[in-house]
Amino acid sequence: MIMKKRITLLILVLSFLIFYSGSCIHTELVYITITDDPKIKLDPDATIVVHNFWLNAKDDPTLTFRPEKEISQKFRDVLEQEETLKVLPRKSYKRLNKLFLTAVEEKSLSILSYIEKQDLSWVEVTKDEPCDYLLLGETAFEVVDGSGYEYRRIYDPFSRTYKYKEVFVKQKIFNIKVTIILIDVKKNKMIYEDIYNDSRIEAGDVESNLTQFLWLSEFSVERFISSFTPEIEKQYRYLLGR
Amino acid sequence: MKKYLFLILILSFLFTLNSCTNSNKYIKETTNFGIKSAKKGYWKEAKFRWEKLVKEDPDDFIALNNLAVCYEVEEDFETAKEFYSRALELQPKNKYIKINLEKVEALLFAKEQDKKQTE
Repeated sequence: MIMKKRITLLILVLSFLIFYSGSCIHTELVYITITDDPKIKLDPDATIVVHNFWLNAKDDPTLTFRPEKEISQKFRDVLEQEETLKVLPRKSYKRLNKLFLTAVEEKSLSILSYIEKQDLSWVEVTKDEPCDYLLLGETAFEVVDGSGYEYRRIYDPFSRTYKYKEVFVKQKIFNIKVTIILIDVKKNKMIYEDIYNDSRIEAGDVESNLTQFLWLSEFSVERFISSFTPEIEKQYRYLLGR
Repeated sequence: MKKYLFLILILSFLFTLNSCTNSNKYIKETTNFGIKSAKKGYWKEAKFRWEKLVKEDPDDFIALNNLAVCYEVEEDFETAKEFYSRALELQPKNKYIKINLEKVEALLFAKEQDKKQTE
């Protein structure tokens, strides 16, 4: 009789434990990615022309874009209408290169803006043009002589101590400023402006740094593009486990 | 005789218990496999697992909630809301489902507002 009671109790305890562990819920926090609203709200069907950013729009389709869409024929047509919208080939780059290399003691050179002043083709874009937004770039380079004396710690093996020595260091400070402007062509109004600054102290020559500058400028354009394409934001959601 | 009867009774009870735990084990494994897949970003796999669970038991609020998360990943917020609501109906006190539902509702509201603004 006692045995029976014990067995029944054991079975009850066991079944409770099994069922309890089976239905026990714990939560696991995982995050999922949900596209969020872009910083600048543009009409998804709008045509954006990347203009005169020393990037040949015809060669690099990634920079002639519609947000998350392929370039339409409409956009290609705009690019080919050179009378109204002059999308320059790497002319700017070549010119920039030439100007930069011939300059000895360079001061502020707004080369691209200089070129823009020579070619204000965006002004010619009227309401009838099949273009909604125009993305313009302006880059300013500055090379400053940063040469001077520096104190360096040098180990003296004879006295087994560290000494400080004044050393003349020849170096240049490279400054870059990229301004990105987005113009609403229909309203003829600037709707966005982004300025990107970078400065580097380097002992290298101008030519080798130029490539880096160009890369930086292109990076700024990409950064700008990502600012109005939908951003991915991490949002937390609860997944339930057992 | 009584002794045998008692033994048969215990054995049958254990057998039923075993089958019960097996099905529980399967549900647990499927759910957790889905979670593992989701964590690695294999949302389609996770969705497949949880869909299976919902088909087998439409009142499985855990699978319903997790499936709703999958729909959110796919940006099908309307369906996600439906699944969260169903899960919450089954478990009205579950705060985690409640939070998930509130978040998807907020997203839907923001989207509607945007739509109105653009119109």
